Amino acid sequence: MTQPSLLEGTQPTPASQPRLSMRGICKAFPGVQALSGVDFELLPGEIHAIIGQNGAGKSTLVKIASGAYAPDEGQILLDGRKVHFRSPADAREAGIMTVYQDWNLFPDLSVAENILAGRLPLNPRSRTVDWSRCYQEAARELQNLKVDIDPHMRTGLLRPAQLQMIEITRCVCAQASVMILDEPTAALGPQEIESLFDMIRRVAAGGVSILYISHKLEEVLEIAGRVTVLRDGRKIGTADCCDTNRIELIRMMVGREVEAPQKQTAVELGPEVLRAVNLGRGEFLDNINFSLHEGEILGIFGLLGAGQRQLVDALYGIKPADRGDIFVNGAAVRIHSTEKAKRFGFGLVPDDRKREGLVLALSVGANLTLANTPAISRGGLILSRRKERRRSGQWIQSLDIKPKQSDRLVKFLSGGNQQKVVLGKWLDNESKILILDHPTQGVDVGAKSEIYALLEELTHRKIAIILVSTELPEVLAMSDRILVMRDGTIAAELARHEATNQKLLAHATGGA
Amino acid sequence: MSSTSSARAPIGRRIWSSVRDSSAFGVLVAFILLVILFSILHPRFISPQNFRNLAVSISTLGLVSAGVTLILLVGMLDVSTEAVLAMSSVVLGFLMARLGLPASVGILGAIAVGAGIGVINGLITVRFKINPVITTLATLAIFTGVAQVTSGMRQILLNAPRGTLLWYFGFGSLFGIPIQVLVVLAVYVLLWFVLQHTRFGRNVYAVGGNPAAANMLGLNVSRYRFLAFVINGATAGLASVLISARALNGWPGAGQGFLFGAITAVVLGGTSLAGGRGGAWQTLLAVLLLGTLTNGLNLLQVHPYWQGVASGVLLLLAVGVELLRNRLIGKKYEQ
Repeated sequence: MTQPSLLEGTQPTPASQPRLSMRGICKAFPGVQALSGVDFELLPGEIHAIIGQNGAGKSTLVKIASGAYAPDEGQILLDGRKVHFRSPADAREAGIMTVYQDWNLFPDLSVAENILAGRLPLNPRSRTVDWSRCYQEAARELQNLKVDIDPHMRTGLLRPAQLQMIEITRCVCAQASVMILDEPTAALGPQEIESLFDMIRRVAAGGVSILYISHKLEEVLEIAGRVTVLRDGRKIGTADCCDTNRIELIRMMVGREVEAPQKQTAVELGPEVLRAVNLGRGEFLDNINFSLHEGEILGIFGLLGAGQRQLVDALYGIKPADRGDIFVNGAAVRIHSTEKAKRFGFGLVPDDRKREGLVLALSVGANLTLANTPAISRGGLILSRRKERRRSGQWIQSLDIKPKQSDRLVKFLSGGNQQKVVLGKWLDNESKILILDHPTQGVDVGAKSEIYALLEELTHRKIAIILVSTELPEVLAMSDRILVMRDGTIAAELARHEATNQKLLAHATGGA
Repeated sequence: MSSTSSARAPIGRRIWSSVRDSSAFGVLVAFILLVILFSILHPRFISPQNFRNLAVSISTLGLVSAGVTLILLVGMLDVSTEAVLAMSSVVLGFLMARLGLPASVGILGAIAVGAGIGVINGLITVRFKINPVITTLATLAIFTGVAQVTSGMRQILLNAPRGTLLWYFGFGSLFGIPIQVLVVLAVYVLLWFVLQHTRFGRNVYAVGGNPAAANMLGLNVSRYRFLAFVINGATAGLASVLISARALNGWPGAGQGFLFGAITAVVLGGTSLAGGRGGAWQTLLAVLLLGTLTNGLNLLQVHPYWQGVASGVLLLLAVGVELLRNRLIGKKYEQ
């Protein structure tokens, strides 16, 4: 591809011709139609945002553009020419580059080496790296984009915003014509965001087209020229950012109100089991106040990175709170380890079940009984295989875990059944306060509704549940009460009957 | 599907199915083939005297490997073992020969020194979250040096008349079985029992298999890692007693070459370097295989240098069998 480099000045392609054009894109995954007939156009030098709820199809569309997925139907045109990407490397070769959230940088190499990674200038005669040219080139690239970072610096010492800038510089330097930024501000503070935005505008002014994905509507309105809204795998519309506003965008994202919530019976709430008062940790979590009752499902909704994970970490002792108080059954407690949290009756279903929820090399039976090994031992010391089989067998029956074998390794189970095992071990432990972090993530539709039914049943058994999710329908359907988080604090508390899609999104995206 | 029936199947079938699905299956096959090969090649390979020699010759390696198995199972690594062997041997010699204390005190002292070094390894690694290789490389250097300095690089001769405790540890037999062999067998039975039949063992597999999940489970990951270091140190201390009792001296060269052999054996037995997979009897089988190889090649008067080559090849072969077996099992479960 011959894209003009920023250094040589730009010769934008005629404005009539889009840089990237995707037409009638369809993509299905087993059980889900992720995209149906989506058209999308990206003009040269344009900053174009894509927004939508979780599962609206944003990331699928972007992954198709960047070559990670192939579309089932539809075509992609780059500068008017039809292209087929078989891999992300293909797309990169063609000039479409993604700036990843988890910086793809080498922390122990210098900034210059990262910017020029894979293309270090060689001394033509000796075929060794020409270091002085390397630093010069990197310095020039940084200067062009007005990024004030020393190219000799070790990359690992930089702050998140600077890492992001290095990544962007690297893409520019590799002659990107389309740059995809996926939630680039997720880890940044307000000032850092401003300087990042300045840089993005400069890059775009240099002729690079930017595809910007974000949950944060205010940011989108500030940085983007146009915005495309997706919902349920369809394109709802494209608007000029100067002609639209947040409320209208939310309306486009949400559509009509969803049907009546699924949770059937309102359980008689029991006494308060958990109360958090002014809970906080560092700059990540602040001023958290809520209470939780026996038999209640408390939904915690927020956009990605709104502080939900930090709240879970604080409640469960993974990263303990450094201020505020937690009361369990009315008594003040300090939870500074997961061991303590478990002793106070907490159980956690983490959002990444393979990394944090299961011991994959152990059997289903062992995993189900792992939180409560005293119950399957004699004298609290020696394990009884018979007790293990019997106890885990009961859970396999009542949770309908398939296949019905306690000695099968848990890694051979499907996602839904694995999740039942993770949940089951806390039931086996008779934990009274369950924290469920995205409990239906990566679970098929059938298992999803089984898990919902199970949660409802648990509330009848006086278990209190904190349901953390970024999926609106799930939170709306299951919760008795909903806390909306934003920027590490609670932005709103809504009772079940007053919560709507629009209200939740409005609180989550800032301002009411 | 065989795994469904294992709960109620006859004991023979259960043992067979656990052997077949075990990570040491390749080792077992190699062991049987090797025994057949050597018994054809050398007439005295199959003889009570040779079996006795073989068993005694692998007992120290077996003991060290038991501790290494535990430390790998919790997902850690300890390379300071040879320093423990050196320190414990010197301390045993010092307590008995210099201070004239009874053998029981010397033996307990040697084990305590091993456990003590384990405490240091464990504390530093766990408390400051330092890579265990770095911690134990440092303690390896430190305690090897301390053992050399305090002993002046000299052998401290031990006096163990027939019938005394130390003599039993070195040369005694019970029912015709050398005490050294009985000690190793006892340690392996204990290790097997703890790993397979106690809560502690179950939690060891959880901590090693997935530390993040173990933490989410409310297990104190650090505590299990720390204890593994201490137990590994104590086991090496006991191994040092066996070496010293047989050599009838305490000296800082007692541990040379053992760590490499032990890690080879443990990995050969299928214990994962990443933690959480493996077990006691697999390691014992691998120790037996390595010992048989050395023993047979010695009988055939093969030069020791070639024996190293042979054990390396064996390791690769066993890994190959393991890979093949995993692929087959994977296929079976995917259906």
